[in-house]
Amino acid sequence: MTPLLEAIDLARHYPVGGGLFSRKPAGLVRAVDGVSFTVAKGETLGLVGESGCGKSTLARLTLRLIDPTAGTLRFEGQDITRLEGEAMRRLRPRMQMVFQDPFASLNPRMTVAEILAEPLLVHGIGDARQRRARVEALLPMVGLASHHADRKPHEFSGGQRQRIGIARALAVEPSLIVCDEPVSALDVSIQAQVVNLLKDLQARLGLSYLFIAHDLAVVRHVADRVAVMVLGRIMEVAPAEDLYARPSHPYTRMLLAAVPRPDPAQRHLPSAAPATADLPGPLSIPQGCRFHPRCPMAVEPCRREEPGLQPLAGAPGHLTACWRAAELPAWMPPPQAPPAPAAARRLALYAERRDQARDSG
Amino acid sequence: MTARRFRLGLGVALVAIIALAGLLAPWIAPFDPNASGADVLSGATATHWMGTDDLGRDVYSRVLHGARISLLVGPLAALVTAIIGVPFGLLAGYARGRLNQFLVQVMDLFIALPNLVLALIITVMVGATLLNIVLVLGIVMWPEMARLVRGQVMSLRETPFIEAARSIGCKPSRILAFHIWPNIMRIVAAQMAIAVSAAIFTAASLGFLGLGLPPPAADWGSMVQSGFDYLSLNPLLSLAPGAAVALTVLGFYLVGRSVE
Repeated sequence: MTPLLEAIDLARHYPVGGGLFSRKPAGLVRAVDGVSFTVAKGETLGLVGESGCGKSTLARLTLRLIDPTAGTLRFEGQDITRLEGEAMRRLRPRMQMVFQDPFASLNPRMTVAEILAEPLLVHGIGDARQRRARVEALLPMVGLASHHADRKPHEFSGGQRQRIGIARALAVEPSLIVCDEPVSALDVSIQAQVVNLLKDLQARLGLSYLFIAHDLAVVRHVADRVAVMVLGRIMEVAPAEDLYARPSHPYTRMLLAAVPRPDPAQRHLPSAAPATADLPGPLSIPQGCRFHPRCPMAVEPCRREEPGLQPLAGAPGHLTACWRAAELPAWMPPPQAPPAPAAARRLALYAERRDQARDSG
Repeated sequence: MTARRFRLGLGVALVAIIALAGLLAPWIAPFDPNASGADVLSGATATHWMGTDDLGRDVYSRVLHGARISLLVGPLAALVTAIIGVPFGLLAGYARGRLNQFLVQVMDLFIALPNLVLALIITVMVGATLLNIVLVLGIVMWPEMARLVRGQVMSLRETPFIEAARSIGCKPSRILAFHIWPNIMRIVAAQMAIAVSAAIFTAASLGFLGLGLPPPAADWGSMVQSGFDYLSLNPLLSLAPGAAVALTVLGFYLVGRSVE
């Protein structure tokens, strides 16, 4: 079966600087530097990485909001890497995006009804009455009331705005939604609600998600598979449970060890990541493995040659880009496992409350 | 009261006074602005509050009627400025590549030319009628508007809601008209008020240089100029229309500035 979305060696480089009289750029920011992944129908691929690793650039590349410097992008089997103008515009309803910042991603001059009807309008779907009916149907789907339709974004809270953003993405019945850190800008108390909403919608509508986050805890809750990104490359990708049970890249382990623990007694763990120098930026990606300056396991070969994604023995679908993957010590999950304490508990609590509400209502 | 509100209040008050003066000129002016009298070059008296000019016309009545001309020339010129400058700025701000470079270079070329000199040259060529002066001022001033709009578009086009509009499949024309334009309308309106003040100022300068509306029109700039020879006899001949220009320009400028 062909995957819904397939990226092969996708890259986006930005030239920077250059003098007043020289046309040659001073450097090259390799924001995304050869990324391959697939998203199957109905699947959620979680994409995790720290700030500046290129995950937002990758999200925009995936939707062709920016053009790739190199690589191939296939959507529903069709090569869309160089699709332009009208052809690309016609494809847009199939792939939508939920943005990180719920305050800046809605036009402040439009009402909710206008925002939700616009995707239908630009693609010539339905007449005014049908569009209005669709808006009325969308609002309860994302947990808003129909009397919200004629208000403007500034009258809503962050969580509600994010629901509007989700409804806008759903309006044209896409098959893929790219969620670019959809809960990072929200209060923790709201995050769980929005994550659960996205999960519910996926179950109901058979959506596929490319779910981007900088937090392994959130992704664990939503993703079927998880990819971990460092400086524009995927370093490890695996089915979610497998990744958390058997992280096979030193960076993934660092991320897992860095999940905040609510217990002050556990603050200084011996297994915590060493506080070595900061990762070099995407302007000066190091020779060899791009993670080696910060890697506690780095040896000479790591400085010379870059490892590619290799399948891990005995774990189907688990790939890792590390020369020393086989030599990594057995993974000891941080105490108080599972290592997603605060968020997982929050999510569980919310699910419980929601069930109660549903039962009583 | 904040400084901004004070500016706005003062600006609105000035504009209102001048607009009233212009609107009501035929009724509140004590004399026909173009009627000569026997009393030539008199100082301020109870009959002629600001004295009379070299043809015996009542200066006060002429200053009141001058407001009508300025209030016609200023806003119309600002409108022309917006009609040329806004679409140009929208396009220059949103386009990329060669088109963008070309538009910016055209804009820079016009900005580099001194407004007054350009206006003088064109006015000499086409002749000073009301319509010509309005068009000339609009043609001279549009680059400022275009530059402002371009800057606004460039900062807006990077915001997530514009990206969202692109991701749902909006065409550039729709993005400009429905997503960018409504969000810069306020700033364009403010810039138009400033353009009104600049237009009135430039029109007065043209008048002072002898390129105002032909006599006997009560053009403030021309009045300042023609009173120049008689400053020692009746300084109000120049000072009154000069002050009228200054207050009008200040009023519109304050209104424009207080919105930003």
